[in-house]
Amino acid sequence: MSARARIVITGIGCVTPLGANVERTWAGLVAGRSAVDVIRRFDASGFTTQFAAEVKEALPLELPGRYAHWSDPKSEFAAAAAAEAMADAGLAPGAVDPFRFGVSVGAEVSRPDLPIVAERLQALRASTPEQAFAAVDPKEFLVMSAFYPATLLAHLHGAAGPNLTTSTACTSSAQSVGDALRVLRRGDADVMLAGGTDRLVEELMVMGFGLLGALSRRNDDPQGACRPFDRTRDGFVLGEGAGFLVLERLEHAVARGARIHAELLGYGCSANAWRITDSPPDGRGARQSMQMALQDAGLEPGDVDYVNAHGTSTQQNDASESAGIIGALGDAAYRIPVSSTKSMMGHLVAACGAVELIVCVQAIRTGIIPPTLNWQHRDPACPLDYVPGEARASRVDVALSNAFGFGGSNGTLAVGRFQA
Amino acid sequence: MPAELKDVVITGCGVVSPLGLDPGDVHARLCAGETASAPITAFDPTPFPARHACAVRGFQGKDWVENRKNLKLMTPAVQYGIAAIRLAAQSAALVPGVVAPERLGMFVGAGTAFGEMGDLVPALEKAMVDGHHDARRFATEGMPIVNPLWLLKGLSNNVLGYASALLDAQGINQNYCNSGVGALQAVGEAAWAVAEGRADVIIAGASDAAFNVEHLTGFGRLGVLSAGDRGRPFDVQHDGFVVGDGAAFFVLESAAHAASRGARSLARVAGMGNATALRGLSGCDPKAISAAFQGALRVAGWAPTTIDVVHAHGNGNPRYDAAEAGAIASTFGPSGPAVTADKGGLGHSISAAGGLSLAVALETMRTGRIAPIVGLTRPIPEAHGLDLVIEAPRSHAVKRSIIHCAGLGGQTCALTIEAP
Repeated sequence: MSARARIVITGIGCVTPLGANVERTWAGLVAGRSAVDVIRRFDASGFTTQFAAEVKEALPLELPGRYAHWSDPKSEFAAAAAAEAMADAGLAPGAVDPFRFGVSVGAEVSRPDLPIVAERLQALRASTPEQAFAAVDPKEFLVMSAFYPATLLAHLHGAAGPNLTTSTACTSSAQSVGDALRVLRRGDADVMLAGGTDRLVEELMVMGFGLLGALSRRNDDPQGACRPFDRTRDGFVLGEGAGFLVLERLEHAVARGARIHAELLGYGCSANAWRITDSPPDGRGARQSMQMALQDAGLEPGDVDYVNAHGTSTQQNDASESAGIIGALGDAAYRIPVSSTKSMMGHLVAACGAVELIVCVQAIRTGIIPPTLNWQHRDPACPLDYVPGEARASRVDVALSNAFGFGGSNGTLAVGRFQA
Repeated sequence: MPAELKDVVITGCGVVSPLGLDPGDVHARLCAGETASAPITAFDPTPFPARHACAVRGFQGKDWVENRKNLKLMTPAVQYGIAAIRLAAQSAALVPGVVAPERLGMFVGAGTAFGEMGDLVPALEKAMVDGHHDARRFATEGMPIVNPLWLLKGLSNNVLGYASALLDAQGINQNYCNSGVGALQAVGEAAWAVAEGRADVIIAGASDAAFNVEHLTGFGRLGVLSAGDRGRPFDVQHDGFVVGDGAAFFVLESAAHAASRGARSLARVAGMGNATALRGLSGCDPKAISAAFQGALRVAGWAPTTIDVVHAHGNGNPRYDAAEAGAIASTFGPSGPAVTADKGGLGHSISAAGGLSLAVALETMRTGRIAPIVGLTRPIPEAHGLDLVIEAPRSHAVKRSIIHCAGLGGQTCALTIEAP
């Protein structure tokens, strides 16, 4: 693999609680603005956690033809973010050989919102089983599936190549991007549209994560609730949205004169092999994931200028991740800025890996490192430089982005300034 | 130049299937023309446009999962997956100490986890106010009676989460929720990960359970189920598929690693090809199917004429059978390979189906007997040029095989394997 293909990022797009595109999301992050607020989508006043980071802006997207009906919120987030990435890459429909153009998405199955489920339950009571069967919307089974966003994006952008969907909870889109990198390197495609999407601010998820005790309950201060690496952190804050990147083999990008944002240098992945909802305190899974990414990228710890942490703001993740960063980067860890942008936009779960990789690309392009909002109290278990409160001007040539999840999968992506 | 997939071998195979838990038996029973398809008695099938299913019989989760607390959180599909993983590890003599935990990976194809919505009915009833769902009431009255671990039961990566902990597999991993291509993509991507040097050994495969009310409703409304007593791939009477349950997992490692520990090779993984149908939402595009075949042949470096057997997807859908038959004819030419398919005997276990086909393909190689297509007596006109194996098994030394599977979103994946 000595003459390994180089893979570059030529397009980025996102929908986040801070804004429905990269520009507004990035502006929010640089300004240190929190998108966390009391939940408006439903009456959350009875829930143990009553706040989240919702996507509130209208999506800059109209789905064509029947796709307007064949969609659900997660696929709409995906379609909007992917459309921005494709436009940003300057790729018009038909610009890439369809069979050399693939899609890799991190996503999870979705479910109808609870009022709809309840309505059906009522209807079920009043009807025969045959009537109940006939009342089910035929497209729902397909549209709710985890793989549907990948199907939709393939159709919308004419991508007839490899089509992959990863569902590893919070690690999904770090791994979907990692897969895209592998597919491109080995030559199974020239261009991959890779990213992730998730829609989380609904009753079932607020209940489900709430019952597990994973969510912050700081109901009196929603904007101060997500405080990664701060000693007083008490859980994560649900966000939602999508992030997509256009990844391309370097020679393909050069041949079409594409503008190159950054180079995707490496991918690492490990499993905690521990318990479903938490990770070993020594951070070994996080360490192994980062080490594999560095090795894959041919980098030394000292080359790293910024780590966008998974940093969920749970007691357990942030301590374990800090230990993992120190394990992987050694002494260098103490002088490398580490920030968690979840402090501002919440936890985008299946979308966080891709969105936070876009954050790293923006840090490289602009020389600005976004802060960890709400970091105030040092935790002995989290002894690193977390860029508290305010964005920092700092040249970034190489960044790492971490994502870790329920089920124990860990993913790390290494991205760098492109140098011909 | 595309990278080569060199010297990755399969050293173990484990299955949980409607025709038993031993790959040799499954193959022998298919050779005898047996089908597992039987009338549905587990619940009243009257509302559904299907009366038959392929159930896994006599399977006890507690035989495979020692931890009873965990077992309670595992759906049947998760239990099948864990059993098949243990059987695969056993078959490859993969005992603790054979491989370092961080060098042992796991790639899983999983089905759609609906999140056990039925468990929420009592809570939803409590939230009903004047015939409408009340979110506040749901939180205050309903939530307290929901199992706090409800969310965990619905995680789509539970096979990976539990099995990686069970086997201390800390290496690279994946969980694909990608409909019918999950198994072969997991095996193919795992083979590449071994070739990339990311792991010494990877356990890869898939599990799924389609024999349940949710899948019969979803597939029934999409109009893809057979009303008959079994699936009839490529037969003039084909009218859809019969749902099935199952799991199939494989142990992959480099030939050198296998040799160093004295493990026998069942076959070499030679290539994988992926493509996506962009016409309609059922994937009936012969061009995409051909592209997947050609991709798997190209990576292997093989001419189509060197293939001995095609293990077709053969889902019994009239349009899909016609498209697949056309693609086989156009890819492999007039004096093409023997064509077999197993869904008439095993049903369609969606994510797991391609894995069961791979297990059958390995047994076909080992025994030199190609099973007939159960359910096929009179081929459709589109298949007239194909060398379909009908009625009786055929003796044939099998050196090279190709296995094909497809998903509901138009994903299509082919895998080439070679006898040791």
